[in-house]
Amino acid sequence: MLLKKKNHQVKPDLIETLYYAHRVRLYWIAYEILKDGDSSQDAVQETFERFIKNIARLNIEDEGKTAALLTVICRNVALDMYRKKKGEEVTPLYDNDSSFSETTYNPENLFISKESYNAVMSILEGMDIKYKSVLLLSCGHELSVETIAKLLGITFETAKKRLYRARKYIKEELAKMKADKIL
Amino acid sequence: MKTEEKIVDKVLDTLIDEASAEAYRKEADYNAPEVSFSPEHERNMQKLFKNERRKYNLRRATVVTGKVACLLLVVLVAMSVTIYNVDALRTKFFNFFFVKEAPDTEIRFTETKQNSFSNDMVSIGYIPEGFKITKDKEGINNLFLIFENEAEYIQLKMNNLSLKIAINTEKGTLENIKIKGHEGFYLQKGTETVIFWHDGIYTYRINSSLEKSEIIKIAEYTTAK
Repeated sequence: MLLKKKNHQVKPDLIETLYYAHRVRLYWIAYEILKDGDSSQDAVQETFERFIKNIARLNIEDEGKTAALLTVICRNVALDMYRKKKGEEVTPLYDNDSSFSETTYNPENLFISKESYNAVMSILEGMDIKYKSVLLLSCGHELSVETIAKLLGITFETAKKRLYRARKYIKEELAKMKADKIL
Repeated sequence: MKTEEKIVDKVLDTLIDEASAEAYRKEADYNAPEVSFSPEHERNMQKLFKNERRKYNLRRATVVTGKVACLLLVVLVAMSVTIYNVDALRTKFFNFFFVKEAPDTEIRFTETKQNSFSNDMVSIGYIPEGFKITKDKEGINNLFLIFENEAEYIQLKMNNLSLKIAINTEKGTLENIKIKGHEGFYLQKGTETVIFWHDGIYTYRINSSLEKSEIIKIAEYTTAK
């Protein structure tokens, strides 16, 4: 184990070790979005600033999960920076994404099969990062909505709404696939 | 939503949870080619870690200080209780603060912390330090006590007022005094000092090698029961 459980007493040397272990990977993750070296380095810095700020709330015993956590934070930081560059609103209080309809799906029409799992994986792959990030942090790292909101720099309400919408989106996509006889 | 629909919905949620957890694990996999970071970035990161080290040390220092403070408090309370409950320690403690270090102070705690004596017949609230009782003879109407230290002595004789008392005042200096408002006299005879007084029930006589002020003080603290 790289890090101990009492996170509020994590030695700064260990955080530095994490930084050197992941900075190149995080750089390229940011670069994929920002397409700019300097901005990508800034994104790495911002990622670690957010990580350090919230370290007391995080379970960082699992190195793989910690690496994934840094990835998700970095990707969101880069996305925020990209939007800011383009002059878009970064963290609206409430998301008004029209791609998420308010229509309800009918679970009865869904047939759960082995393929459903792979289908969910492929839906996740193509999902908007802002929704995917909340869902991954919630399911993969078992973080609270409050912590997710702090890590991603969004409000609690926004994080809660994104989590709800992410699940709903997957269910709707599954229903569509079923209707189109893809599943 | 019907019950069946709720069940399917829950199953779907579990499916999403599992798939998301796997997708999350995959987030760590990334083959990244080497890249060199700018000196400015390196400087900023070192500054960030330095700040974090400072905060970490401060947190640790706060925790250690808190523990030491708690420990000191416990020791202090234990010491206070011990000093308060053990008369010898208490006397030494007050002597240290009020006598040794500040001899001119008006607070004279030592007066009430000196040796005392009490039996069925009499209570003596003040006996100079170092004196121990060597004789305690109690009769129906009288009492005879002797206190001694290495070089000096104090004798107290108490008699019922009805008994006749004879004191040899020859070659002595006699002086009238009052003990607790009662008539008495003081006699200096060579190196021996004698005081005598009565309280209407008993007569008291103290013979001692101590000086006058000390004997009068003993007399003032002497009360019949």
